[in-house]
Amino acid sequence: MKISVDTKSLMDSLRKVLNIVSPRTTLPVLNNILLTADKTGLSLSTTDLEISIVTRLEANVSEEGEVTIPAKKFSQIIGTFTEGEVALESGSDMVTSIACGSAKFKIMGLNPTEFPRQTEFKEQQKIVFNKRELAGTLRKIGYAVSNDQTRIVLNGILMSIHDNSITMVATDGRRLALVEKVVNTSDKLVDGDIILPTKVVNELQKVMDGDGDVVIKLSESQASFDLDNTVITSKLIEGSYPNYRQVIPASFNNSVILPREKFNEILNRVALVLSETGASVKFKLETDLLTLSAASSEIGEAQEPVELSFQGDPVTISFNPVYLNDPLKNLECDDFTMRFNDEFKPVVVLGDEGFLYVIMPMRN
Amino acid sequence: MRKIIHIDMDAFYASIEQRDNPRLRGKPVVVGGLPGSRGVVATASYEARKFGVHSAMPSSKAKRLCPAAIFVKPRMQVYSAVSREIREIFRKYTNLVEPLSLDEAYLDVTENKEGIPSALWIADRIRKELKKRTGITGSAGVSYNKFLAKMASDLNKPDGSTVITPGNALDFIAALPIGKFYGIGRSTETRMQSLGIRTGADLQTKSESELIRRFGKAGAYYYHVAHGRDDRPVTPFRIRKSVGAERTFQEDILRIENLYEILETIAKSVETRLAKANAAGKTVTLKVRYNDFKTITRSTTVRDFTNNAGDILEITRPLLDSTDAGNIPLRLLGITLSNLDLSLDHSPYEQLELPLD
Repeated sequence: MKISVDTKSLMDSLRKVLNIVSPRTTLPVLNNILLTADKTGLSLSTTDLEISIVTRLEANVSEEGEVTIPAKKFSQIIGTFTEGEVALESGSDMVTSIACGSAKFKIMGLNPTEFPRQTEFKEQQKIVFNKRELAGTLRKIGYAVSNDQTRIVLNGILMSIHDNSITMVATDGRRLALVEKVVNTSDKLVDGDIILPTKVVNELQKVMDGDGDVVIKLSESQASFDLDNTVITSKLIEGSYPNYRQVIPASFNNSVILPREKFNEILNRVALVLSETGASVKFKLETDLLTLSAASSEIGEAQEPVELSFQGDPVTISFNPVYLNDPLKNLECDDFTMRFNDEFKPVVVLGDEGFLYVIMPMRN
Repeated sequence: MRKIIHIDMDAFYASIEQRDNPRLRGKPVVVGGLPGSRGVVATASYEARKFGVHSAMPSSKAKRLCPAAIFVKPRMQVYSAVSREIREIFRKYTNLVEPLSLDEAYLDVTENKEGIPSALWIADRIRKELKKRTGITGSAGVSYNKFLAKMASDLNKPDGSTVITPGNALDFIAALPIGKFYGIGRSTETRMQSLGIRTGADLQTKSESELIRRFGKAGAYYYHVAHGRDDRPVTPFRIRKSVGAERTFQEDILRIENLYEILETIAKSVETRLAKANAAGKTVTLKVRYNDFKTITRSTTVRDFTNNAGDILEITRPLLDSTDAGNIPLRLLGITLSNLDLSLDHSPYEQLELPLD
């Protein structure tokens, strides 16, 4: 392999693939990045066996070929070059020569045949999303994914396709966030549920900048995301997601509308007096008045009133402030709606189009 | 007199792999790290054990001993699913089930749901049911206390039951090599050997006060089990004594900066585990293993209970600095919190759960 490539674009591309390279892997070649040069340019591939990322960039290829090189070291070296072109050259000895300006490196790699290749992807369905829209959806629900390893299905985001509408859901058993959207397509989508691991969602969010589309392809056990020059492929989480519809109350006695940003500011201010992470903020609702209050024995207490329109029976509900801040800070709407029945039943938050959040109160 | 059964599944992980993949049947199978990696053997099939392969052995050594061995990466999710299944079978007979790990448990069947008078009968019924429902065999030890039941389950492996009665218990213990005693690890074994204690019979000649003098609290346990006495109840829920996490590196690490980074990720996983257990601890122990396998621990006890990664890191960094880390390459780092306060569970706040199934 013999190529030259723009330093800055190489570094940009490296950033996209580097994250999933773990220093603590059982297979040494997974510490490496696979460079493939062919007529169309250079591609960089990494994998942790669950996720694989391939990104392509332009390069002057004078000799095609493949080589692997330790990913972290390679990016450290490239990162020190500020401008110009990098020349990369490798032969059959698996050593890559790197030259930029007057600097020269020879870095040892591993045999590219050891690098795990993508298994065949039997595409069953293809969905096109607007990048901005998908990024927004993931941002609005991603925080609710559970990290409890004992219930693996909740460690991912459910993507449920039904009657040409797609619902993405995340829950940790205490709150649940979902975004539902109707797909504008002439073809009928195949109904079905898949669970995307959080890790791929995180990677996706890192590369989804700018406008344009992302093409999601689904197979029985994998999903791939095709964005411009980058393709991320991930295994899906096996298992069936709990029936999330059953936690959404069918009816509510009460409903209030609040200004999103201003209210969230008040919530976070009042929560400052709490000393432990699992503590609650009290919502006391009376006619046309909501009072937020919090107290802890170590720090002190706080309260702040919020005017609103409310005509129901007085009620006091407690929430973990983090669980309310999460959606409020990620939504875009000016006002949001809270619907509830009593202090022990699920409470619903509505805001942006298609968004729904269910939160369980706390018992004091 | 109590009726205790100890059930130990036979080569659990390896048997599940052989069950799920017919090509592995009858062949030496090693579940664990792949050879060439720095992993260790989690379970070896009986075919592999014939070559001297056993658990906790480095996989590379296993490969040398048994070049034909087929190495398989563990599928913990599958094993825990099977484990849940076997515990369900146990609970058909008694609620007093104390799991020791995924593949081992004590059962107190003195009073059992089926009203069966013979514990051996129950043990054999359980073994038959295990085989039928999971396709995996297990061995049972039946006796009148936990220690003897545990020792007995090892005698007729695989797929067998053994009973130790009050009548033959003392003879059985007398013949037992000291290293086989449950609760006597390698270092205690060496110390026992140096005191001339090689078998249960030797241990039986020692007085309780001498054993306590030499081994502390554990000495009393050794004394009693040597005489066939063990009053420990079968407890379905065990109270946690410590919470910790550790990492074995793929390659030995010398640079202290890298070690600090890893220390931070370990501190974070300890924090997560503490949160899950609703616990906080006062004693923080750092474990360091050098590239020559020499392992040392350093600990500090702090005034206030701590449960967050930042504090844990702040406490463990000076501990790490006090070792030879940075001068000698390390292969493992670990952090454990003990001296636990589990009362965080009684926080005045209770987060309600969504009615998910």
